[in-house]
Amino acid sequence: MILIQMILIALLAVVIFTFIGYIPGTDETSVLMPITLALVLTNIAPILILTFFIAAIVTLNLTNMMPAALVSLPGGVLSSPTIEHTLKVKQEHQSPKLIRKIAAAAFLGVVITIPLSFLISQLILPFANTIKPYASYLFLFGAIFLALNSKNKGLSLVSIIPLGLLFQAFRALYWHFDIVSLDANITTSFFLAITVGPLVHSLIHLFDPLQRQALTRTGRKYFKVPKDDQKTSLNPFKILSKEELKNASLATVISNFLFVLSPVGLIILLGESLGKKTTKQSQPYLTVSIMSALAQSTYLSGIIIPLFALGIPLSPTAIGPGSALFNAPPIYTLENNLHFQLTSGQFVSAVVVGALIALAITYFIISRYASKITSFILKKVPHEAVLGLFVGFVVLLSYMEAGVVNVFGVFIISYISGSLNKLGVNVGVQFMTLYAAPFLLGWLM
Amino acid sequence: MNKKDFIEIWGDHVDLKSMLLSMFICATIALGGYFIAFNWGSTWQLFLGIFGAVIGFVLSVIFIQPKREVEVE
Repeated sequence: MILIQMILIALLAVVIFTFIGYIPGTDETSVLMPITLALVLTNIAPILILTFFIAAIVTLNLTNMMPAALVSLPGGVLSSPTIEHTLKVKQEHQSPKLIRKIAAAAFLGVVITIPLSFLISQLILPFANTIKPYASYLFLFGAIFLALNSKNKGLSLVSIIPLGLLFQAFRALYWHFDIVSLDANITTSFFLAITVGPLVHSLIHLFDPLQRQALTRTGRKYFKVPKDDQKTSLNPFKILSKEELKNASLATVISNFLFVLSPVGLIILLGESLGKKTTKQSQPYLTVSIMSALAQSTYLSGIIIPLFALGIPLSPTAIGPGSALFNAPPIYTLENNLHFQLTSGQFVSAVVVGALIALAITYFIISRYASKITSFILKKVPHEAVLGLFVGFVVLLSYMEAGVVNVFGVFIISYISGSLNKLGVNVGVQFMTLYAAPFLLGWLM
Repeated sequence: MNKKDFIEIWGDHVDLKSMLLSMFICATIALGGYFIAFNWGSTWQLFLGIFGAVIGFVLSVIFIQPKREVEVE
């Protein structure tokens, strides 16, 4: 009975996130987090929540690559590093070939990551209780580590403490005026504030006539969508070349051990370096294949390892899109979440069922219909509606957490965070800082 | 095709007024959903809220034209 429910909820995730994945610019975190949170709050069986989430990330990370491959618009954050390479393929009119490689590499990423990340969890498990008291330190070290890997290292490092203060300042304000109870630790809406930061930053700068002039474009944006290929084989081992198989697998394995690092960071780092290991002509295919495998492996390992071994969100994926699995009061708290409620067997079955259903359906759909779906979405769904939906989500969750005041609080936080982001302080650093903030302030005083 | 001026934001062209309108509609209906469920507990509040935002999205899809020109090869 529970298996049927698991299959149904995985199918639900596939349907929702196939659609969302094709819409350009739908950021992973801001769509995964609210929907998962809503599901968690319904208080359905924990195993169903995990199945849903795993199916959702596998589907989303694969379909996100489609608008990138076909029209060079990233479907989400993780597919943005592929753009310069997909552009080259598109100029040679080889997009259908690339799409099959993306799907095959995603398959490889999922199939390697699931057993490997459970294995790594087993290795960490004996040390779990030793690690946990140091979680706050780990968040801080995580922030510092990501800062050292970001575009603007100096500013990223310098901004950690002020940003931490900013988050704590708003929390303290809400406590002081009894807007929220003293045990409420506002996280969800601050989190979304970081996510929409770049958007809010751009919007505010439109008020400056000079900046608006700079962003003004005449006429519509033109897209040429390559056609689907209906005939070729769907066997992933035939679709990928030997080089692609080897390097995508290697990247997947490495990324599993680096699960605490930012997915998009790993995608750029490993994708760009391993992607060069071939002839100039094959480079775009190799790079994008590696990146597609990594999109799967970083998200899956980032959620499986912290959730299975520790129960604390100790990776960007767990802190971000998967945060509702760890901390969603009143259903889940850091002392009582999926980690404590699921047996190992349930854990493994939820991951396997969710991932395989999502993979099987998405793999088939994108190999055959990627182009049709992309052109449909581009023709029907205006960019304005996507941005509207984001803002709707953020306003709603801000209001739910701490009323009208928090809507303005989130607004100013997102502006600051967006400005820092534009200057090269990546969102990973900011997410880690959000989690380290209470500790950071206690330590400073 | 008319050569109207648009704003480029997040890699695509938008009409500023339509975008602000869409944001306003999504946020208003989302909060509307939340208030309908005001006394029904946080799960329903979130659900109807998200549902409201999605209705706003659907309305925007229906009434706002994408500023793209799409050609299939």
